[in-house]
Order: sequence, then C-alpha cells, then structure tokens
Amino acid sequence: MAKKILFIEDDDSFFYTFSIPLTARGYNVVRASEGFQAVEKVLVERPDLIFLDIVLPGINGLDILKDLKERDETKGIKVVMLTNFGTEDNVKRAMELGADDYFSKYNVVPSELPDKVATLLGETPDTGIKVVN
Amino acid sequence: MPILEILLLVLSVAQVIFLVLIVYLYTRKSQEVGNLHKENAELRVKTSMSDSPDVLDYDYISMLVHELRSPLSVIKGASDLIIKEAPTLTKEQIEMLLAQIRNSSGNLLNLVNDILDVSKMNAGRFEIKKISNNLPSLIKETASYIEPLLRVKSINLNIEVNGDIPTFNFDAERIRQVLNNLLSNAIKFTPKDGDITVVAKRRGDIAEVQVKDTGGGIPDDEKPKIFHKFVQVHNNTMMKEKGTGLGLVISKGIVEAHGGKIWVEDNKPKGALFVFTLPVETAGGYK
Repeated sequence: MAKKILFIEDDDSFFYTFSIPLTARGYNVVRASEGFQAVEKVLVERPDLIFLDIVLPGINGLDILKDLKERDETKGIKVVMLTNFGTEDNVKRAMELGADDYFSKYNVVPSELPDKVATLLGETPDTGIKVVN
Repeated sequence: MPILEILLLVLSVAQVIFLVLIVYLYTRKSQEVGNLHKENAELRVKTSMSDSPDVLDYDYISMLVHELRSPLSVIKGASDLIIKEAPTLTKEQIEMLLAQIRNSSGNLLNLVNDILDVSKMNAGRFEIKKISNNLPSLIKETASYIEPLLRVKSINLNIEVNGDIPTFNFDAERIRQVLNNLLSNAIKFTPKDGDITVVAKRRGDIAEVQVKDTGGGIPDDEKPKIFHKFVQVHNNTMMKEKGTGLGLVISKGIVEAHGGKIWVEDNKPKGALFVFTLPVETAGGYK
C-alpha cells in the first residue's frame, strides 16, 4: 500500500508543484489547506509523513506541531517543517517540539523531494544507481 | 519541443533578472533599515519615544523576506521540475507549471512595486500626476477587473454612484491602486456569499468613496493603527491573514498626496467601512 504524505500548506501553487514528483514516485499525497482543520485532517488521514508550513492563515504551524506531538494518536507520525520562515529561533523551537527535520522551501527543489521522503520513511532512495551482485 | 525550450529560456532569464532586482532592493532596503535603526535608536534616546508602529524592525524584514521567498520558491521549483522531469510530465502539467511561474512572477512584481512605493513615500519622492479623469468610470472599470475574484467566493458587488460627481483632476492609475487595495481586502475578509458595496458621492468640494464589506470588521483598538506601516507584523508574526500590510500604507500615501483623507469605520450591522475623499479640482490639472 502506498505511503501517505500530508501537506499542511495554504499555498496552492507550492502544493501543486511539489506534489507532482511525490505522486509520480507512487506516494499518496493529500493536503490540509486550512491550519484550523489540520489536526482533524491528520486524525482522519493517518499519514506516514507530514510536511508542515509555519505561516498559515489564522494559526501558527508550530502550535499545530505541539498539538500533534502531545496527542497519543499522532505523536509517532514523522513531521517535517517545510517553510520559508527559517529563522534560527523557529528551527530550534520546532526541533524542541519534536519535528523530525526542517526544510527551507527555497532550498528544496521538487525533483529532490522523493529521495528525501524515502530516507525519512526508512526506504531506499531511488538514486538511479543500480547495484548488481 | 523548441517553443517550450524558448519559454524556459525566457523564464530563466526573467528569473535571474528578478533575483538580481530582489537582491538589489533588499540590499538597499537593508542598508536603509540599518540606517533607520541607528537614527531611530538615537531619536529614542533623545526624545524617549514610545514604540512606534512605523519602526522597521527584524520581525518586519523577516516577514517581508518570507513574502518574497514564497513566489520565488514556486518559480524555482516549477522551472526545476520542467527542466529535469519534462519527459515524464503531461502536457497539462507543463502548462499548469508554466502558469504557476507566470502567476508567481506577477505576485513578486506587485510586491517589489509595493516596496518601492513605500520607499519613495518614506524618502518624500512619491509623485502623482493629476489630470482630468472620471471617477465613476474608474470605479466601474476597477470592479470589472476583480470580477473573477468575486466569482470564486460568490460575493455580490453593488456599485452605487451618484450622478453629480464631475470629471476632475486626479491620478487615475494611483486611485485605481487604492480601489484595488480596498476591494481586494474586502474580498479577502468577506465570507462566501457575502456582500460588498461601493458608494461614490459628492459632498461639496470633495468626492467621497466608500467600500463596505460584510466580513468580521476591524476591532476598535486596531482602527487607528491599520494605516501605519508594519502594524500587522507587530500584532502577529506568523499569521498570514493580513499579508505584508503594505496596501493600506500605500493607499494612505496616495490619497494624502491628492490632498484627501482615508479612514475606517464599522459597517452596520457587520463588517468594515473604508472611506476615502479626494478634493474635486477641475482647474489646472498637473502636479
């Protein structure tokens, strides 16, 4: 069964662009575009990995992270911050709250994302290099 | 696919030009910020100024950089995807990615123009060109441009223009910018199926324009602050509802450059009522 990735992301263009290579790699990609519906969406979708933005309408992504890591049902889900708001304070705070990694949107290109996800999920990245025994 | 390659080349060049422009503007802005900070600190020592909403600070610059990075991330990401993955993408996906690049470039350009306008206002170099124009026509024309945005939220727009507003001298492009800012804000805060009303009328020697929405309204303690720079950031660093907050600052600058006033009231029974006035001058015609 395909692993599920949830984007908590309000930017339509960003989500469209960055979900294409993940879908092409066979992941099931879903999205919560409203910060307030994010936790509910996580409880319904039960994703294997969450990409979480910080600047969201009406709510701060770090508050969502805190909520997810405090709930027994969701604290085991891997959460990667994916944001353009990469101040040192935010990175430190996110890691303290239990984020698994912190990516800056402007430093990540979509074609690299599937390999990063594979590594985070403990799968073998598709490097294009085949090892023949 | 030669057309696609040409498009990509053009977009890549445009991206580089944008990036250079952004870096240049940001560097200039940073230098100004540094100087302003220094001057501000000195002023505070001298006059014991309390915290002003006009202060350019680290929080504001962080938010501005975030707003610049958002469209840039999409431009960079979508072009990277087309260059590296073109053979695996469908025609529709490529067209959609190119549309994302075009839209994000437009957003970036608007933001850069806003930053430049505020810089000009700060430096006292903001100029308007007052020539004979028709305000009711401009209101109707501006409304027609935002029609697609209204349709998305099924918002009903009513325009009530009194027939006694004469043709008078104002900068049509700049007043269009004010109308756009006020209408965009009204759409942003009005819920689905809500109403927006624009009223234009003459009161003696001034023309008055009202933009009424049926959103959540502006709390009383925020009303005096919203036309000042960067107040949104001071209120909440990480929430996006209010964007950069530059639109109202620029609108105030434009209206005041015409000799008019702009303010906000409560719209009864619900929402916000933005009002701006312009002096009705028919003689001369150039400032």
